[in-house]
Amino acid sequence: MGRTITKLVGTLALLFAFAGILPACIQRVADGKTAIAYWRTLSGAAGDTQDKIVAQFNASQSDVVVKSEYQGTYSDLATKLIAATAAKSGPDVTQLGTFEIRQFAKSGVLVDLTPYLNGPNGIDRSEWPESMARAGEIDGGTYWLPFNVAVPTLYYNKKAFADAGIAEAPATWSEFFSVVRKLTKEDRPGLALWSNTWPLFSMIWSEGGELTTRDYANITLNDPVVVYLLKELQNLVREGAVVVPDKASGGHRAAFVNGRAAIILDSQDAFSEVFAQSNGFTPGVANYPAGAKGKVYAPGGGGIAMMSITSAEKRDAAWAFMRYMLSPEQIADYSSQSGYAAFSKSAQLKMGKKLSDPRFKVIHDALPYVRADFSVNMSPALRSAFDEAFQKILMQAADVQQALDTADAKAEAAVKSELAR
Amino acid sequence: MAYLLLVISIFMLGLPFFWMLVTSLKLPTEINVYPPAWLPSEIHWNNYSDAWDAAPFGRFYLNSALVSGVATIAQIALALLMAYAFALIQFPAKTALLLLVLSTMMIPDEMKLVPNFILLTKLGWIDTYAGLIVPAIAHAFPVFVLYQQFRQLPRSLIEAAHADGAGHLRILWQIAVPMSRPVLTAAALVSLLGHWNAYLWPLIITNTGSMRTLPLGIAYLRKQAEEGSVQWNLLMAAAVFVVLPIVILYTFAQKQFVEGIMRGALKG
Amino acid sequence: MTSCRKHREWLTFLGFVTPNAVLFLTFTYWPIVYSAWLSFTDWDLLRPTHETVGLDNYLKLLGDARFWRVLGNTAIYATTVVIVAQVFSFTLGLLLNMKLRGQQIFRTVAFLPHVTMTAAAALVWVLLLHPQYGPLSAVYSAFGVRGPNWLDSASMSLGALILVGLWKETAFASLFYLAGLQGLPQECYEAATIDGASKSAQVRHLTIPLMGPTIFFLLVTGTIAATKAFDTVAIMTEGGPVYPDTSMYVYHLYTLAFREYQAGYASAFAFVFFLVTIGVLILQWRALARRVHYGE
Repeated sequence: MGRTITKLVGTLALLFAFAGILPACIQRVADGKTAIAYWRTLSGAAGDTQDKIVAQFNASQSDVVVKSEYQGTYSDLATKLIAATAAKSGPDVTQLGTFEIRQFAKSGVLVDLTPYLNGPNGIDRSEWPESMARAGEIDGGTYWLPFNVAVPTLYYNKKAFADAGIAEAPATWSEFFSVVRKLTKEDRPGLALWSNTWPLFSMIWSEGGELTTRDYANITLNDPVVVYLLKELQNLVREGAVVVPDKASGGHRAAFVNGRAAIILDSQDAFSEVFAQSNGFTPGVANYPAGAKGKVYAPGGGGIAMMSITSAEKRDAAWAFMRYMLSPEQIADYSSQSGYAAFSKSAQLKMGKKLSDPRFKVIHDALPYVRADFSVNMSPALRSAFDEAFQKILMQAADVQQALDTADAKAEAAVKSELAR
Repeated sequence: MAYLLLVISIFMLGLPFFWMLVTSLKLPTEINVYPPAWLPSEIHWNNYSDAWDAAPFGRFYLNSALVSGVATIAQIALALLMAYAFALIQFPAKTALLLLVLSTMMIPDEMKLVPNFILLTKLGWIDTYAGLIVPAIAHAFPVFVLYQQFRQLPRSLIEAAHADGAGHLRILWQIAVPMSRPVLTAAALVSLLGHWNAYLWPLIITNTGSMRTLPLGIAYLRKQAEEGSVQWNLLMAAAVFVVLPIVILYTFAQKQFVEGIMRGALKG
Repeated sequence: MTSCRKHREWLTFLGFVTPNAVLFLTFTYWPIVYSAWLSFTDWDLLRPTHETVGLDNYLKLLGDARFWRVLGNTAIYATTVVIVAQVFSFTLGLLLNMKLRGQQIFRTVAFLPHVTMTAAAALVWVLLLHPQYGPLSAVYSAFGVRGPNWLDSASMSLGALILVGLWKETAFASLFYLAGLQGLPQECYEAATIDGASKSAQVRHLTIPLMGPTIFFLLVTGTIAATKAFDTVAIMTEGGPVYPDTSMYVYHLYTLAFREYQAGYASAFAFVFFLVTIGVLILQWRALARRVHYGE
């Protein structure tokens, strides 16, 4: 009996020891250097280049060692950050999508970067577009800095355009709608819309509409411009000129590259995929059209932030790394590797000739028109109310005015409780 | 007639696997063909190596095997002790205690996420094998089936062993366990399946690529779906090699599994 | 039995139970207690502090349209999956128990859905149901119609989730039915055949009553599993097309805690879930347990 007990306990102890010791063997302690944990999202070049920047930073100096870890999608990353924060742990610096900025900043999860930005080792943001410099401002502090900046990009099927006798991409939104109609053939709609409402923000702002003020004091999801535009889109859906393909099948991008839609409204993020996978036609790229207010574009992508759990001694090291990421050289390098926008003037200068490449030209032509207003993204309640109305209108043929009125009322009530928290 | 019905049902149940295999061998261009082809034009084995290289699957495989293996062994070992105690050792209010254990099956894991995460941070177990394994050990299901099994053991045998001066641990090891092989197999397989397929907890608890498990590898690939493009051929190839070990195991242990379930779960 | 012996038994019991009990207490009961306490607070998981709000979360829940919607969806899903799967899998169990050629292969394939990682299975189903890429589209095109896009419409996508749930549960349950059928006493059937009872009469009057414990067990475990549906929702629909359309209880709970910063409220959700599940199981117990014959 005694032997069996010993065996049993022994085996178990061994297993636990194994489970406990192994990670200790794997984690090496950096000697004397400050270790900074950086969490990121994005796969492919947009992810690999971040790791490359981290490696270069580690090699460039001898005080700080940054360890970069991929954490899945933006939403996986957010979930992990929330769980980590609840347990008072997590990374020192993190990439962060726009959805979480406000709630995280308000809850004290992020460090106000103002002292660092204006300090001796600061960043000269005067050469950033003002919209980018101000994007992470909440209640007078700056909690988030843009890094991978996405801009609207329109993709069109050159063959379909030629067949329909259209010479170039539409310059205005009203022209856009008629082009979409003209391009529509039986079995091939003119436009495949993204199930994400992001492209609509540019459309709405360009035509002079607003969804909310930045402080959410005036929410206007049922703004007449929004009503008009969604009615127009709903009509196009009814006519078979617009479809909203589901995500699972690859969404609007798959529809476009397989020739099942002549236009898509996306960001520069789709660039490599569109050009690599387009089947049986040449794709073209253009900026989004202009509206009554000219070109007003919604920004996309993500940025970087410092987490409050970072101890006081580590913050300077964390900042040194953030500053390195945002140096003109790195922004330019990241832009040319990943296709995200080189948003500062000096970074664009660094890109030099590359900017004349049509791909980068389209991206950077859009930059001056970007209004770095993430207010829609930054309130989950507002965004979900608008998304719901969008889906009801385009997929279930709901009455536009009524759906938007409902969404507006819903958003107002929900934002109120969101602000109260 | 019965045969036809059987073939149809099996076809319906097997179709997803067939499609998984077929898609995993197609060329990317063949996937977007409408209507789709039932068989790939040529067998494209490269999908498997491409999928394997798309994420550090070698490391994930090792982690999954280690975590599932250790967690399953520990889970069954502890469940054996507990089930034996509930079935064959006297203690006041045993039934109430057993119900308390069994009621944990009704608690969604998502509810335990935050408190357990906080606890593990305090223990310093974030991103460790211990963090992946230890919280996943205690489970009511193997306790339940083993308890059912042990209750059916012939009393006379146990009493005779007692009379011979054998202690409970010896009876468990030398009589109860050998007589319960099929139930043990079934319980171990169910347990292994749960650990192998776990997604949410490993997602939350691991921070580095060196600790991640296979389901997270699938998620790596699925990420491309969220970004807009899905490489279905790669995704399905990954699905095949993730599912395969368990399928092989079940195929071989099927007879024991069925017998074990019969004795452990169904005889009251 | 002497009192000394009795106490030794008790001590042994404790010794046997303690290792697992410690783990249960730490990683299962403690989280429940913690969540119970959270359900009376307004914590968003992010702030270092939070306030107690009494019963507010529970009161809010009663007037929350999304609560009723996800509760309803879960009820529809669980009821359909559990009941329909019993019919399918019982029949399948009978078929698999026959002496037929290739039975070994049939049995293996029949159990595959149960052992497949849900995350991977859900992805295959997305592809299968797809109006263009899926094999179903071949059927549609043969009839010259365009297939419905399952995952794009509210009722159809709940149907898609049910279909996948049904697929997995049928495989799981048929395994148990087969096991149960193999354990039935052959003498009864021989006697029944001699008495001239037809095959169908045998199933109705002999097999089903004898399988009582199996059916009961599967109803209970099936209900527990179905109400916890999470993976398929997360991968196939994310609760859409329009958010709570196809969201289910546990998925919504997760959304509240990790997407909408309402961990306190989510904990109240979790508690109500626990109570409702127990209530349903007690009802099942009341309705069925007495009818089940546990034969020795």
